[in-house]
Amino acid sequence: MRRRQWSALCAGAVLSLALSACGNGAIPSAGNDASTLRVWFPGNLSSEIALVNDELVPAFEAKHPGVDVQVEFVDWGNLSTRLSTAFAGNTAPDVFGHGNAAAAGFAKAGRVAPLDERVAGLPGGAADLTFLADGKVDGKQYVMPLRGFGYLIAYRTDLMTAAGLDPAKPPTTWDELRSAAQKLTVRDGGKITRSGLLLATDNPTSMTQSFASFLYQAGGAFLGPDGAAVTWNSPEAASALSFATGLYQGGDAVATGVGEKTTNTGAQHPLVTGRAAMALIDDATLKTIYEQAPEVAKNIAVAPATTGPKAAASFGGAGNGMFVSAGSKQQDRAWEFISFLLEAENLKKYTMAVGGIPARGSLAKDPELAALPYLAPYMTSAAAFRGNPVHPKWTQLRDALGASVEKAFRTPLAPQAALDEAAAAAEKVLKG
Amino acid sequence: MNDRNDQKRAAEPARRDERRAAGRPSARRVSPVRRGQRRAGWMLVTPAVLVLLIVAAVPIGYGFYLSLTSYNPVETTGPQFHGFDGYRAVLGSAEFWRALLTTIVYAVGVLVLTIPASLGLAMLVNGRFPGVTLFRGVMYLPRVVPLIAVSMIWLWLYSRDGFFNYALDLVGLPPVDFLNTEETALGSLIVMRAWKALGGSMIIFLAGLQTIPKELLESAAVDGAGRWHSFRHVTLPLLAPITLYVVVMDLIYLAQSFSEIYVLTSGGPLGSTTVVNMLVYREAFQNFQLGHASSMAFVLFCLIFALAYVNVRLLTRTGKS
Repeated sequence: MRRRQWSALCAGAVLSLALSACGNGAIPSAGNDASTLRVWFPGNLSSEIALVNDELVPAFEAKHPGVDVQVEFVDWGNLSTRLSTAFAGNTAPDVFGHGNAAAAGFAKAGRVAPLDERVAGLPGGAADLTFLADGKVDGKQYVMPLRGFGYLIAYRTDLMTAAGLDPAKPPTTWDELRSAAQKLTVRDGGKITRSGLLLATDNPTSMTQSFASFLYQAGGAFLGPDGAAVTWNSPEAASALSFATGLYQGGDAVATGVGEKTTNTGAQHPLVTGRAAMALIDDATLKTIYEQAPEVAKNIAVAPATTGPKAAASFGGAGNGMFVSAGSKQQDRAWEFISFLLEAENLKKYTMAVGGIPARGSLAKDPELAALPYLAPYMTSAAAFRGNPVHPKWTQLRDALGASVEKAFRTPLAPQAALDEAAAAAEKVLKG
Repeated sequence: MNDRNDQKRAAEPARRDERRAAGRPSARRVSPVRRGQRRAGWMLVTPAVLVLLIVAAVPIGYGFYLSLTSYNPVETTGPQFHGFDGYRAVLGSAEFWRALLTTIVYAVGVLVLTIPASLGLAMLVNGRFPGVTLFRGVMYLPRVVPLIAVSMIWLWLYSRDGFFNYALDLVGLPPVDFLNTEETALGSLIVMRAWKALGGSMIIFLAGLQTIPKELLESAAVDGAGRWHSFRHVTLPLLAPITLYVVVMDLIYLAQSFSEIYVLTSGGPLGSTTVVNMLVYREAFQNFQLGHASSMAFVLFCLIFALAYVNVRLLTRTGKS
């Protein structure tokens, strides 16, 4: 073959490859025949993998002969990457799990199917399902939460007693919280050696979540009702951020270590090591403490949701839930799988294995679940948990807010100025 | 033999004239054996060329196309062409320039630690002492451990209750928030990455040291040069091409750093460790702005390409000299 012909052949190959890469045509999903249901679960928790693969999927397949459920566990860190490329290549699974924060973006793009009619047809109705509202976008149900989460104040009962406080009467208001924290703080000269009250400040996102607890208690909100403008720089929000950052700053600070990792740290958590007497902590982190430091965990109790100037509330709500891909050719079967997971017995097993607040209110009364000391207080306070707004640009808005909230925690920047700065950045995101 | 060659050479112009007369240019006339060799050559390189095109050229080309578009892969609309708007946005972004500066400080910081230390180690293991092979193996070990695994180990070493703070406590010093303050986070990352890079550079320097003729060092010694002078005036100049290679290749590699920063600091605190690849990742896979992320990636690519070009030029010049 002559050189010119070779060149033409190579150019043709490159062109066809490039064009095929650029194409957005429908590519059949791998293994998407009539008998196969592809499901992605987020995370790589071994107990969850064992439960799903060894119990739930075989039970579902036994109930639905001929159906082959292909489950894949996708690490949380890779989930968005995998999903976005799967959507772009039309190879998305029939059912996938994700946080409810993703719902608005997926729904706006038409990638997930609305489930309202199916929810209404659930045996026994949907009244028992909690956190459903967190999975709605513009009034339509897109995600079915499997479990919830929440932040509450956990405290060391032994340290409270030693400080002359009654562990049976934990602080429930901002004033009580601040006063108890002062008494529990230990200083060596000007340096805090034991924090009276520690917030979750691992990174800008968790700082924002800690701030959210106080924001909701103060009666504030991140966004206006229609999501068109931010309201996180309202006077309520400024007072909430002042309270939160004031714990770490100034001569009467009661906490130290902004940015220190505390989430899921188990035996290394400051409550365990004794470097904190109270901490705003989520149920999953408390579970790791019970698993890794059971002796210290005996001396840890959890207070009900703190009552702020306006409400008793805290950051939390729906955790991961299940979506049905709009492009799935097996939407009925996909829904059958989700409704199977939502059956009380299966949700209980799921919660026992994975943790989190079960997405059925009736399970709060289950004796086995209610006996779990790291879960019971969170199930009792479930109604007080409020999550992030469901907005298609929430991750960008949250990043803008997180950057400024971090400044407020770490630098002398005034809370109101930080929130105004974040609001200005958010305006660009909303307009963009 | 020589006579026959002379005759052939003398006859060549005549043969060329004959070929021209027959309308066949001399350059086109290829013997069947040569043609077969060429064909075999093409057949042998074609799989490699195709693989290169598929895994490198096409993605790069598509990436460049995406950089000229606004594209959210979650949406069904596909890429929307907007020309160089993405590049204008990147070049006008203070966040990008800050990340670029952080990337440069990080890469140069690692090199400043790695080059002298790895050269010193290479000189040490170039000698003969009991256990030198084992020592070389141990020093090379960090190179073969995956970067993510190394990062996880150093995350613990740097943590509030980790080894370094334990050691500080033993000597009566206060704990340090290595990864948690603007003042120390980037430096801590640099130290970790330098430790990881040490073994690889050491081996390259060792290879360079072993190519230096011993006669030169012996001559220098005979001329009265001490160890320092031998090192300064013989070893270092002869290692210049190797040093240049290590510096430029490491710079190219370090400019693409991501995983260790993602694990240890995620770009914080206050964005002090946000390198360009962190921004690219955030834009592409958290905000789903694939077009904007591609523009950033291509600006970084241009800088790395420039470094690679400088590398080739300098190495060529050094080789010639």
